[in-house]
Amino acid sequence: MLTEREFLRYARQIVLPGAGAEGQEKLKRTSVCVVGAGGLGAPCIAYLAGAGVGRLVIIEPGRLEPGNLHRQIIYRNEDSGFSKARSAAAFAARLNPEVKADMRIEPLEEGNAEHIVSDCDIVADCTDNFAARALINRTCVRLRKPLVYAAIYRFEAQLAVFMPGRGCLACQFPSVEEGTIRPDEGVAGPAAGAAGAMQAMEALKLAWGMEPDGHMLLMDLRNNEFAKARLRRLPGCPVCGGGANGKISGT
Amino acid sequence: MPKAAVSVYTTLRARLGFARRELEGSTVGDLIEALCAVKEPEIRKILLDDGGRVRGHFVLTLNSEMLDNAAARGVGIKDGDILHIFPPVSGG
Repeated sequence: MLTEREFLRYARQIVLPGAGAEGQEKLKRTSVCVVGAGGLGAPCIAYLAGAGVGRLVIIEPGRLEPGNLHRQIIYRNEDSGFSKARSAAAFAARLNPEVKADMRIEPLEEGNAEHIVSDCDIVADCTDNFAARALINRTCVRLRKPLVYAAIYRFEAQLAVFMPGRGCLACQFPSVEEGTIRPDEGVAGPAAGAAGAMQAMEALKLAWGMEPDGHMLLMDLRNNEFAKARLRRLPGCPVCGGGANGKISGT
Repeated sequence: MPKAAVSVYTTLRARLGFARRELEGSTVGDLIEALCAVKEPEIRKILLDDGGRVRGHFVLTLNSEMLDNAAARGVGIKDGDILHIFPPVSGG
């Protein structure tokens, strides 16, 4: 049961179609693992905490650098040099003391991924490199956890929700060319913010029981163009196996 | 010849200097050749391997449906089709 204080706090959210008091209770029972507390993770954490997700697990090994501040808006200037996981958890606790914000000041690695992810209902991939993204994808497939994926490049972003048994990140991107796109090529803060906020939106919808739409969203915030690509299951996918309905569509 | 809108992203966009262009072609292969012709040989080297196949890390979608790169060149084009060409990005 929600308390009177919770009803007041989440009033504008509870009245949403498909949410309701029951949906708010679902959020309270939901744990979201946010891997990476940078440009994507910062807004994602903020919106999930604000919405009243019961437990956030924030995984981030890095310390805040001055160059992070233009886009990682949950941090303050004086947080520079300190653990981002710690500052992000403190931000979430200040924003919403009802939320349990756990932090892990370490990278997600083969040795800890399964243990950490198995304890969460939903995973948000807010990392910044292909290796971490591949590990998160493999772990979510293995543990059958929904994965909310986003990635950014300059003014562009990609967003998708991968549900167990319906294709995975590797089905969409069977190969990557590491090094083609360097992280130092710049990123527009609000582009990261938009993508990270949308990751939070997708995680909330999953918690409320709303079906993801089965597409990858391509966002071009330089030209304000948005496109959708239907997610596929790749036959013989080395990560998820593709499955019986794994025909590549459109051919 | 059918006309299709071709949208490109990331490195292709940076090298081509545009995000979207209307190109003519009866197949996806024609559109790819038209794109390569905008800036030879740079775009061809980025987009295609030595055998002329679209490199594996690019995803092609035609009217929102992902194509199999190995068979993409032969897929027919109609007037008004929309082809997107994008690689995975990793920034966060």
